[in-house]
Amino acid sequence: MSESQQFDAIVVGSGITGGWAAKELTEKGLKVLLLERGKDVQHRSGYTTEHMPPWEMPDRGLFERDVYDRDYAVQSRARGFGYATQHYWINDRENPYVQPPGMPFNWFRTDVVGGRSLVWGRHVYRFSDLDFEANKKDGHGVDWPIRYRDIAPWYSHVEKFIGVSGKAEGLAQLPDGEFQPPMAMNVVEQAFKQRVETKYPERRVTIGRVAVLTEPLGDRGACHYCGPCARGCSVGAYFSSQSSTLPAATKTGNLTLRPDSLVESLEYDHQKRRVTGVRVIDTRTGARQKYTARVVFLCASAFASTQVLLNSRSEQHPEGLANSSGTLGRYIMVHYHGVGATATMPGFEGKYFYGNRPNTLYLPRFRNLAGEESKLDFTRGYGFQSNTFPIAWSSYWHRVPGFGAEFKQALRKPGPWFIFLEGFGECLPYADNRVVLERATDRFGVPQLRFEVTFRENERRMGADILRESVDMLKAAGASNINPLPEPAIPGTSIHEYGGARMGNDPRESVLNGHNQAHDAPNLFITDGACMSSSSCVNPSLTFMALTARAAGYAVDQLKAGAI
Amino acid sequence: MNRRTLLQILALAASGVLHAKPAASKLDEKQQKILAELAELILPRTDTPGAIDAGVPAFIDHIVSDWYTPTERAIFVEGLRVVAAADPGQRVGALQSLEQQAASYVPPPGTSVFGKPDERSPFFFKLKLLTVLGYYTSEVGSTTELAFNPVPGRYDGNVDFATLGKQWTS
Repeated sequence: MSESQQFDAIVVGSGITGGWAAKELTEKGLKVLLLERGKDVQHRSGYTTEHMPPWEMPDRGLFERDVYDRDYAVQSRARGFGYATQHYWINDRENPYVQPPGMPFNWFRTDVVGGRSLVWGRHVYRFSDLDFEANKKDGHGVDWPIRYRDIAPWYSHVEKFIGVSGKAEGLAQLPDGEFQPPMAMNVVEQAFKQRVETKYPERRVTIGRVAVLTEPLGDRGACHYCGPCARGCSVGAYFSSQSSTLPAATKTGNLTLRPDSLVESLEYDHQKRRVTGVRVIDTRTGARQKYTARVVFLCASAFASTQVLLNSRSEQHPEGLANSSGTLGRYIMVHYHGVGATATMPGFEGKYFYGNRPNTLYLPRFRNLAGEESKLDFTRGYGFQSNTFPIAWSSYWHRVPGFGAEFKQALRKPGPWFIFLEGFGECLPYADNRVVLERATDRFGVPQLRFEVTFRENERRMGADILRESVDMLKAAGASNINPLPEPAIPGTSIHEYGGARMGNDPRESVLNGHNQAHDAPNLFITDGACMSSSSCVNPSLTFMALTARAAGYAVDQLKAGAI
Repeated sequence: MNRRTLLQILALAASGVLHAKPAASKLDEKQQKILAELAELILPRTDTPGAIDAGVPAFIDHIVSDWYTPTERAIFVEGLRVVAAADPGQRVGALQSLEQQAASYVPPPGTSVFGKPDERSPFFFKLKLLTVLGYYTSEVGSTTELAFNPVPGRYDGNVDFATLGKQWTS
């Protein structure tokens, strides 16, 4: 492929947002080059461990000890990482980043076409105006240039296409969407809901809203409840780039997908104020090449897109491209995560389940809601996910004493029902929570990204409240063996990543305008988590998708009008 | 199980009716024999197949030889040596006493057969873990002692366990 081959648009990254950008732009008639740093994974044939029974896995799926320590020191800490999914995750040894002393950061990344859309948690929630107005109201960060009404139609557009199962609840802080029938709660979850809502009438317990189909949608089949989604799903029951956006983009005939293509930096014409090229490294050969197009969408993930911009340095902009505000790389946010409590739920002995439901309960934010006079010592709020299941033989075996026929018989029955309340807290935007380029480079000579991200007083106070409320709600639900989990996870563990190239009204204090368009380069759009001005407490992917679709529509209009 | 049955099962195992992939064994013959006896004592053949039927001894041998760290291997081999030194007619007693010695051991929270193991856990804990892991993840164990259903097709979160009588494989 030569440089002269012309594309209308280049999309960097084929994950959740890159897939959406590619779909929207190709469907509107643009010739799109989709660049992905990772190797190709084909829908269906690429899911090599789907439905694989444990006895067919090497070492029964036990982690590969030496390999994990050597090559996946970070990634192996990710939930769901294991033999059945490790081929999707990035090799940490070959792709290092910098964690300064005392500032550990888990940067969980994939290295494949489809990105983290293959392995994501699939929970999808709308932001509300509680979120979009938060910065303006309490003065942290910069005001969002958009409000709920600006994005609401795009939420619907995305939900109808990806398929979301869930229940309408009529809550202002968690707007309802376009839902397929919700998944069922199990017997313990029903009791938990009833007891918690009785004790706390202002709280709501609902089944997770997930991008997993309960009814067929187009060519995609409904969930068959096998359980381990992250191995890949041949019927396409959960949303991934492979199952959904890439087929749609391919169908237009306008898509060129190029895997193994790491974007190093962007070329910028200072006179014309335009991005004029995308510099790509072939990860198999190390060969460098430049591609050109009229418009560029960065969708490489919050930190990777920020890294590309920071590394797009020139004499005119030594601190990175689109950084006239000096805010590039700053205001990084990740959800405050890991605090909560576990317990067992007595009274359900003998109750069991059929099928593996890839979903949890969700307990929407109930702190500092609109119109409330806050008596709390922190601003913003948090929500909970809750996993509830009977403890299986694999975790229960060591609590059954003895050996022999009696032990075997005792282990035939499942253990007690386990419940896990897990908080997801909003993290405030702080200027000095940032990513910067390190002098040290990776194997391609690209400067490594250095993370300087910590939680602060507001997050710690919120964490204390999360802990208190988890314990109290479990007590109200009649749980036993309540085990508080007071320690937050290392920043990044939630994989809910925000900021670095935030949106704002004022070019002097933000990187992007209200259409995800760079103030400094009108033909550059950044629509992944980097664009976020605040983090809400809800899972972010739906908002990233809606912003991407919205920005793609705007970009095409601007192109047609000759404005960019 | 009496000693004769055990010997019959051992003979069966030796004849190659094993479901696990045969591994290059680094335990010697005597260690292998004791390991098979112990695994079968932990999960014996009952109305469902036992550890030997499920190829557990070969699996454990492989894990101990090829996957364990030197620390873990040393603890495991020493455990086998202690059992070997005791009266062969008193294997149950030897195992009971090893269990008692391990009784004060508190495994780290969230301990599962699949997680990163505690290197310094006592021999009995290691042996029981590997026997359970090897058995319940084998094809024999997964399809007899457990219920294997890779594509359930629907979800019901309120089922009486008695109607199934077995746990799912996952």
